[in-house]
Amino acid sequence: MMRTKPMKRAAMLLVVLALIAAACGNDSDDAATTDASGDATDGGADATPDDSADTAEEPGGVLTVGLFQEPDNLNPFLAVQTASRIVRDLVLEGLVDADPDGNYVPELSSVPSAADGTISEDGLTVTYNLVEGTTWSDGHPFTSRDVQFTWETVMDPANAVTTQLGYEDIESIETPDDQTVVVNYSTLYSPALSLFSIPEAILPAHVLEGEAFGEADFNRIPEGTGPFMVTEWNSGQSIILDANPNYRDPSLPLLDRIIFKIIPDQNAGIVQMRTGDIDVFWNVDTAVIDQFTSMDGVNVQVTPSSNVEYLGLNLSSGSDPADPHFAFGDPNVRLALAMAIDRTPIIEELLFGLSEAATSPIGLGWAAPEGLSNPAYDPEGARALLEESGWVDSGDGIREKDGQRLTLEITTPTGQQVRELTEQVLQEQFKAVGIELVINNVPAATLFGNWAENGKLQRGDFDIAMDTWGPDLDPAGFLGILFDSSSIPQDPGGQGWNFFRLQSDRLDEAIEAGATTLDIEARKEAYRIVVEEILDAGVYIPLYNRSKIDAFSDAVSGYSPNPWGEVTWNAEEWSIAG
Amino acid sequence: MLKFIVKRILQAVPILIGISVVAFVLLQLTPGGPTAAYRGIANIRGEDLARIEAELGYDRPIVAQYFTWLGSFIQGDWGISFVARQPVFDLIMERLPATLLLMAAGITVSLIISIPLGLLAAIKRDTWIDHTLTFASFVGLSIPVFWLGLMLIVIFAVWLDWFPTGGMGPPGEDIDILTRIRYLTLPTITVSMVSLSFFTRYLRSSMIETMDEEYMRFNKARGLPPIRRYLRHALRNAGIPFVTVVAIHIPEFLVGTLVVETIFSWPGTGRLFWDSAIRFDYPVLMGVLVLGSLMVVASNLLADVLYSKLDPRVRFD
Repeated sequence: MMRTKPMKRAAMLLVVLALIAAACGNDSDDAATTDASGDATDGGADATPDDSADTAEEPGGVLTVGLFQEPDNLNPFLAVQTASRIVRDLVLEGLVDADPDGNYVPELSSVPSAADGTISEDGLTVTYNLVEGTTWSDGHPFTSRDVQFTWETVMDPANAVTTQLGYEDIESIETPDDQTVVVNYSTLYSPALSLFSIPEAILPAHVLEGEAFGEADFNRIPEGTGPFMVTEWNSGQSIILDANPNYRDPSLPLLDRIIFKIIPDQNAGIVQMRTGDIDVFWNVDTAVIDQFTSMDGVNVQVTPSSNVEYLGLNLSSGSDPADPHFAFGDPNVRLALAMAIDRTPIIEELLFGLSEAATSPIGLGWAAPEGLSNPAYDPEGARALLEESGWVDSGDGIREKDGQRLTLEITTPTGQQVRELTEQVLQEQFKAVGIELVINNVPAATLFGNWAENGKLQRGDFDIAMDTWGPDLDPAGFLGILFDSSSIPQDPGGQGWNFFRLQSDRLDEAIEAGATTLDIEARKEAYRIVVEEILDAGVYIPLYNRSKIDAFSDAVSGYSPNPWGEVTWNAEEWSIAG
Repeated sequence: MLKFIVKRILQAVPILIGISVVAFVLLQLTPGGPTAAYRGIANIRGEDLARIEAELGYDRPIVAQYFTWLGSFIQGDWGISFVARQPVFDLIMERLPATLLLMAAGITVSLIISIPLGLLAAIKRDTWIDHTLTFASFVGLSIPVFWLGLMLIVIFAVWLDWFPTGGMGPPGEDIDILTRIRYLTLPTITVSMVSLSFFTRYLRSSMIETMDEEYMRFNKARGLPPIRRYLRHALRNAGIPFVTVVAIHIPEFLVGTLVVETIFSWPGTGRLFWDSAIRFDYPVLMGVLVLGSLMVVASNLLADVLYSKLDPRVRFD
């Protein structure tokens, strides 16, 4: 008995050692790896051995991108995170894509248009002529059936997709031959061209048919038609993409491999950029931007975005649009507020001059009206307007009227440094014209919560909200949900995000007009009226256009900014030196 | 013995069910509800949220939801992650080896360092060595884990560049043992600091208690050499409660990995839990919580079994 105990201890130690050895062992064998199906890659390589060998070897190279957010999954109809789109856009493709100017360009299909009859006169029938000779990365041909399957999948109630918007307006999809898709709409959906494309994509019928969509392997290792294909996803660590040997343009991609490295901490990302462990850092926080600009061999790329930082004014004293706000019920006060704002210190000091002053809720793309400007910064004029409306100095520099002090509450989600500093700048600027601004920031969940959760915006429990929002390539959905009077959240239920509680017949009509035709010129005109109405009402004060900021090593070339895509939108054209 | 183990396992079942009920209800009560993850989509419509809620079965009464979950859980179907859209069980199993590796490294390092130090402190009781060690372990116990981790990163990874700032290894490469150890060093130090100090102090007092026993004085009088007295007689007896304490302490390492994995981007279950919490991924949270509870129950059982094995006076029947 005395002799066996040390033996037992030794055995225990062995067990522990074995455990360590097991976990220590080769990473790609046992730890946290999901491998792409071996056949897929092999099959692909066999199909076009010459192409891949020639083109891949010449420029070649491996590039590492740092992501502070791990993509949730790579399924365009299930994913929520932006990081997902950054990765999957290299793998999955839509029927059409958007160029930097916001125009539709062909991807898997030519762009339908009314001119060549591929959009019917009533706008209810859209015909796509698919690009010939496209295959999935496993060599399987891409056909019209894939498009039809994508729609069926989205509409299948078992699949719990994130959105059916637009897809639900489709009545049927016909596939007269492998290269032709005819989409029949039951009601006109004006952003029809963005369906199946931005930010979604076409799903492979041959891979997903009969699979449980909500938990398919596809969601992590998608099969695509794009320039790259996912070969490994090491959960919590990295996602590895290799060049797709079957990509329809044999000269692309230039890189052999892109590694997305998950770095949850911004500071760790800075260190790894400095040491050269990563070549690209996605989405640099404004607060640390000088750390990147001061780094040798690193350049910072500023890409404009359609997101606008703005002040939203509540026209009601609470949630009831019939009950006007004590101050904002008067258009003079709204205008005075706009005239009291000097955007220069916000843009120059807080944003390092990397953003521009915003003038419109639609700042970019085909629908953006030209030649707009903000009311000029004019504190003197603002004071005069307030005097005119009966708001007079109460003795301490803050105005009052009928015993009511001009004290306004501003709110924004907590924990965002630039916004908090902006509020303090505004506080000073408003004080200069006799308006007291009280800062009351709350967690995002409280601010954006829905009616049942007592969300501050939906319930109208604020005077001024500082928020950022912007239209998609097609602004129809954005305008409807934010400015249509039917989107005013009120009892009961409280749907919609017109938390300005703005009601204007001319505005509603223009939103409707823009959403009920596919004629691009008519739509531009409608959206010009929409923007005009919103700005005239003075409830939406645009501050600045939010830019997307990414850091690149000088060794990387080929990036060009595209407000409508994510940072990797043209990564097939990137190359890396050395 | 077998009877005892079976009995303890049966006793654990209601505890685990209780924990899962509490966790399930608490998660459901979180602001935002089960579809909170989808609110991240800017233009998501109320009707889409309602549809998703119904399609995922979250519009049913909570009791029905719980029993559906429990039924599937027992059969090995732990649900599907809202976020990854993969089976929860697979996601957790993918991450578990990394956590077990970190825990095993932490426990091993704690023991390798704390046993000699504890013995030394006890043997050199009330000397400057003892006082220094007592002070050092007091400091070790008081240091917040996240602070220690960040300091180690700043000093050894950023300034000196001796170790990587985080991760388990360079992506896309085969990883040999030396590389792995380089990546493992800082997280292991961080995760073992508290336990290491605690074990040292515990072993010291346990040894001192034993060394004060009469038979130890008898052994000394008998003329046994010190090394034999300390290791063979004192440690043997002081070791019994120590082993139990170490076994009961295993869950502390699991808790420690939660913080450490997040600081060091270590891809284990702790970080999975953290990521899932900020993304409202209820099915994964439930899976990790129940797995964690299982590990606590198992460690306690292990402690009991070890105790009875090491101490012949203790018998469970």
